[in-house]
Amino acid sequence: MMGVKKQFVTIILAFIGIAFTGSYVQAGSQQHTEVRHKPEVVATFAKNVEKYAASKGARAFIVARVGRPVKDLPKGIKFTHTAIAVYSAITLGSGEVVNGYAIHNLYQNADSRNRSDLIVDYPVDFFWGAYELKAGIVIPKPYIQGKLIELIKSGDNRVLHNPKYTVLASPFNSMYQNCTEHTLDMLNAAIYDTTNIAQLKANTQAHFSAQRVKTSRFKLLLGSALMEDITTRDHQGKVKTATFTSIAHYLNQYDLAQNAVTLDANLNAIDI
Amino acid sequence: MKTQISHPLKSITLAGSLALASLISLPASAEGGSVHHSGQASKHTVLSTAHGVGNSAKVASAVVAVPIIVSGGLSLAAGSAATAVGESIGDSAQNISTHHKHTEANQPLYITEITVTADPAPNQIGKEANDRIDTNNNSPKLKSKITTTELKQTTVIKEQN
Repeated sequence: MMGVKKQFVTIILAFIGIAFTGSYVQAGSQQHTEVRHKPEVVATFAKNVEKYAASKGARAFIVARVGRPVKDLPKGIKFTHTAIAVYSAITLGSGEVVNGYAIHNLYQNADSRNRSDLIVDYPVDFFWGAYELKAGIVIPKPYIQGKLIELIKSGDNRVLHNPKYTVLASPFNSMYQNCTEHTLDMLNAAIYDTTNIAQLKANTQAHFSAQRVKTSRFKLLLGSALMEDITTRDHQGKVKTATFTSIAHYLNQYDLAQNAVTLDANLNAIDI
Repeated sequence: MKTQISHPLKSITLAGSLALASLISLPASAEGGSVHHSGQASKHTVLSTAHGVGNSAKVASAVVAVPIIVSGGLSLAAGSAATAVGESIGDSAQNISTHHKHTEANQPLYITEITVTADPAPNQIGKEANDRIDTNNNSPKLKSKITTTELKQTTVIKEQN
């Protein structure tokens, strides 16, 4: 009977692990392959996000998507992937040059899940696998936009990339990095006009309030044991990570945002 | 009735197997960097088909995107740049064919009506073309035509900045 009990407990643990890893794996910075809405609907939504940003004069802005049901995410986390969109001259395969936004992402590598790559894609790619057609948009003050553009155009954003990936990366040190921390690092590089990582991390510790990940230590421990892209080794005390919402609050707190909204498929823009 | 005794190692293996099985079945577990690339060519096809049926907008692959520099720096007031564009969100009349590599800070920001998508990784281009060849294996003429078209569509230089 003891054996049966042990097996039962093991199965329960495994299912907890499944539930946990399911939430976090899908909360990661991954590029989607399966469209969940009609392609033309996604394309229209993506275009409307571009038009909204353009209407606000955004040359560079922070954009976020919802990759899975919010109810499946840790409490308070509303978006699953964050990146920076930059107004660009886009050369098409035909040679034609058009204007629109290119999105500069840190994506988790599918083959090595504890590694990441910097990848440029476009709004329809960004929202392709979105669970919900809702965009997080934060437009920084114009001078920060200008610095972000300089950072990306010069390629210095690559200096800020740490390919060691974990879903719950602490933004306060440079042990690991996820998509949102990379976005925050780029933002701070623009704000402080430096790519000195030690300086950026010191500034983050001093001024940025990360979002607490409200989940049990047991689940975190189990996730760390089962998933190569989950670790809490870079955290001290409570697990906190950078999120789209915490970045929005950061910019609002220091009066560095000109506009911060969520935009839904019906073009309702709700202030954050 | 014989009860099987659970060994700790077996328990760990069971937990691991279940977790792994769950990962395999999770949509997101198949959604990463490399899978992202393999899905791109299909995405382009799906988008082209969708647009072809119900919409006149075009779909095009991007070769490179260069951030647009703002002449004189960015110091414009919030929301002052593109009010006219903003008022016509959702209006398909914004099909602007001109482009600008340098713009003034207070100029409206034009957005192309073309749906721009990233291309697949180089190693996926041949695979996609081969898949199509296999699909059309009984039709040599079609096979040749699709291969040529596919190669034209997918010969790109991926942005590396």
